[in-house]
Amino acid sequence: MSRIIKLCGMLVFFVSSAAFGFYKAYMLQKRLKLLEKIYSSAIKLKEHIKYGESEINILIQKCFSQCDAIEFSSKGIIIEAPLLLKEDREFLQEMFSNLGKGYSEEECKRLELFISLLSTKIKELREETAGKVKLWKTGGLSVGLAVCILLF
Amino acid sequence: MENIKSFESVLYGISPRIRRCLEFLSDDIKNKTEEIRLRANLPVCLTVKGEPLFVLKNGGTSGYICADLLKTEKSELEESFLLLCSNSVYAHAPELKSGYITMKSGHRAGVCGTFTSKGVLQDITSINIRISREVKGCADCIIGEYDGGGFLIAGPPGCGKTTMLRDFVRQLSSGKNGSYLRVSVIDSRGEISGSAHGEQANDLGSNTDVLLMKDKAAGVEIAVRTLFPDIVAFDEIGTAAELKSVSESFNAGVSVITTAHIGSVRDLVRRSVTNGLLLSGAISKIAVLSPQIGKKPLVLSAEELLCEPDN
Repeated sequence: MSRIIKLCGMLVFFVSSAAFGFYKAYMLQKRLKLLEKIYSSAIKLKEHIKYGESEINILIQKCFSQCDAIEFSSKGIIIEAPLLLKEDREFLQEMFSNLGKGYSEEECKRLELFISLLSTKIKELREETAGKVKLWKTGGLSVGLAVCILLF
Repeated sequence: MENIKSFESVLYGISPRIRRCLEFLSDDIKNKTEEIRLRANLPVCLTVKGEPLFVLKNGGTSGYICADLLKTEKSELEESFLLLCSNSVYAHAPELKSGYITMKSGHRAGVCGTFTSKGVLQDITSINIRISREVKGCADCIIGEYDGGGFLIAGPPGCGKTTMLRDFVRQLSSGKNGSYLRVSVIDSRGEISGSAHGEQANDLGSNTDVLLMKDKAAGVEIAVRTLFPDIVAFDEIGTAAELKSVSESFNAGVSVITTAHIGSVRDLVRRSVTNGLLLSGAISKIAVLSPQIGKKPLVLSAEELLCEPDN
């Protein structure tokens, strides 16, 4: 009986540790995917602004419909994404802070700058994430396994 | 009541502090206000029945400059400009090149500042919000004069030419003159139809087509060619190209109804565009509006005017 309880405990430890590792890896990938979506949406937004198509609230809804993180309200642009880090949110706040206040040429230039910064950020994050994802996954499994060995 | 609603519908384009004071104005003032003028570091001024009226900090009004006047800060002017543009200056760039913004519900805000060499408006110094009004029945006094030919509504700025044109079109298109005339309106600033975002706020009658187009001369040509109207109507004739298109439209059997800025009846003959219009034969009658509210317009025939240029 005690052996069964021990085995169950080991299993619980192993599964939870591995799950935690996989969850962390999944969250890192999700953050990267969200930033990639924001990047492609910002390119779309720039193109729409270039041709002076619609007002900013309509364009935000149109371009950022695939990423739920960004919305337009009466108070301005709201970034609601728990997946994003504080630095990501600050970067996006800055990007959206003066949006629509200039003529299309300057708006496009401004957006271009942020798009290129975002692109660099994504590139760095992609390299970083690949390593971290592997680390979290193997880390989770290894810790789980180590605990099991110790308990055994 | 409609006028109060019109007044309140333009307040979205004014910065919150000034908006709150304007909301406190009496219904009588709201009802009669034609313009709201915001100037950097100067008092907020309303145009009520053609006269300037200053807004006080407590929401009252004064006909004179005094201590408690509500002044517009430079930052508030910039904020108002962004609100008028719905935070999308780039989307209003074509209008801004002509010095105005078409607001929701068809109101027009004139914007003053520095025009750069690229035609970009910067450093806003004043904003003039004109509250467009639909006064149904205001053209009753001239509708009986319409004989099927061209019609010119002339008068000084702010005397109600556009309002008169709007009602004139509505009445002709609604069969008030015996038949439901097909009217094509060339609305260069969305002011006649009150169009914004594809929605038309003003009633222009059941047989009217509205062509929103900046280039009025090209608009007349398109309307004649594609919409087969009985009448083409547009606001403020002012260029030789527009005169030419009116003349061609007349020769194609389509009457034109338009408006023109004049200071007095004599200016009809003095101004090259209005003189050209009369000489072309495209206009058979002219209604001269008076700046005095309630005064009946003076209706003249083109022949009469050309025979007596000293009028």
